[in-house]
Amino acid sequence: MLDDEKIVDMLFERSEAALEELSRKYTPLCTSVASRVLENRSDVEECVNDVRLAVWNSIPPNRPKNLVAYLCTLSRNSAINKLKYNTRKKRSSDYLVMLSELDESLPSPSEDLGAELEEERTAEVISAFLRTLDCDTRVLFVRRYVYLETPGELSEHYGISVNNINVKLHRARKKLASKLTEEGIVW
Amino acid sequence: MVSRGCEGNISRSERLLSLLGNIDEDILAEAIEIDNGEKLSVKRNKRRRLSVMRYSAVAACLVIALCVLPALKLLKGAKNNDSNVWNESDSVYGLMLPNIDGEVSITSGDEWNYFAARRALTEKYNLVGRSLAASSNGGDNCKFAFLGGKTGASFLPEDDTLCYDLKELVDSFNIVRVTYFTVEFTEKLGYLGSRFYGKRVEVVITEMSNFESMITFRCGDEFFSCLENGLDEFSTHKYIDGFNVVKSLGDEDIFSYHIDRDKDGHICGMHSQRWESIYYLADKIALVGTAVSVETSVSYSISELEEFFNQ
Repeated sequence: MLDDEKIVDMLFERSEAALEELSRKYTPLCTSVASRVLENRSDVEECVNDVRLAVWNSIPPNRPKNLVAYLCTLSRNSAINKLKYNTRKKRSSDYLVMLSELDESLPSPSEDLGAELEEERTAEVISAFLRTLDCDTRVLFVRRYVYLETPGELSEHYGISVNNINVKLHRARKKLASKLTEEGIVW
Repeated sequence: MVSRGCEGNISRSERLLSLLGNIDEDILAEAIEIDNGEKLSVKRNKRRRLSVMRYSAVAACLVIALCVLPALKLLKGAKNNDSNVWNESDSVYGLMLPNIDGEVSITSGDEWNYFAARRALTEKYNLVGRSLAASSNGGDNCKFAFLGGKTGASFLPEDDTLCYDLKELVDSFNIVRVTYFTVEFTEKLGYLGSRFYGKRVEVVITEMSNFESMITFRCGDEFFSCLENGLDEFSTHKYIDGFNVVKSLGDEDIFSYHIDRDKDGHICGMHSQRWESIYYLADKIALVGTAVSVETSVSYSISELEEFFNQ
């Protein structure tokens, strides 16, 4: 298999062989990430196809430093977008558990619910916040809420007890809520 | 069954979830690259190792020759003194150590940590800094007010979960740095202040190579310790009871603070990350004398420490 740098180079050359290589190498990964959000198999397949198209359309101009991270992020974003078009019944139970966890990170609802969400700024604030966390917590947080891994999977990967992971995530969520409130980010 | 809350919160959570996909690429990549416990451990310790490597052997030798060797005599001498008083005159850079009288019998993780730190101060060391004292004399970055505790909290939570037995982790207690200083609690509002108000309290912070750092407060026969719970953050979320580490899942922030480091990684202050409120009160503490940090690489069993201090 080609290495990731080579695949990105081929995409810059607009070589369709890059897409074939990408599919061969990373379809299982993208499927895995999308499956964490979507339960319907055809939705997942559609999502993976969307990721392939998104890669073709975004590289160039983007040149991801880490192709795996890039694909995982595209997959999860695509899956979440797909979910928004589906009925709530199609939400997986794992996904709902994660959403209920994230409730803790929400700032108090503003009376001005119509206020525009400053998405870019919020992402910056969250990034800055994540940098203040210790490495363990940051990695666990990103793996849980960006790549949608379950605490059980994280425990298996990192050799940390599920209880310990839940406590770390709980504390991080509380801190994030404080940070978002402190920055005046409400929606 | 999932506790979902209202639909509005589900919607808001989803928006937050979407935003999390837009965070900086390097943070996303880091989480992908660190895909197992071993890599996580390496990353965790990298900062400390880098800090250790900064100091050249030549500089360390010079500092030892000029500054620490005289202290060694005083430190060793102190434990042979029969009186249990503070030897303010026996100070180096203002570092004062109380005498240890009577037979030392280590019956808790607190005592283990304290005596290991005391011993590490006297042997196998490289003096690396005393920036805590320097910063406290006018430095803007040094703060000694830290969270004293939850208002009205007089006991640690009772419904806690046993985490692990320290004695089973003896091989992990490889101490790489000890920071020692003495403080006085000038207010008695918070959790520690209510116990130690008006008294001199020794503080040791031991940093381990492959285990969480631990802080121990000692005032006479009273000890209070907790473990690092996040980078440079200590709280009652993990405190020591006997030889057990207890995880406080309920009132985890009865006591919590961050230690500050200077650009070289030396501890230069402590502060609370929380704000004072009707629920939390900040203890005011004052540094007495100065602080010393030593870098080392030692592990002491309980019997080794008892033998050392009782010889």
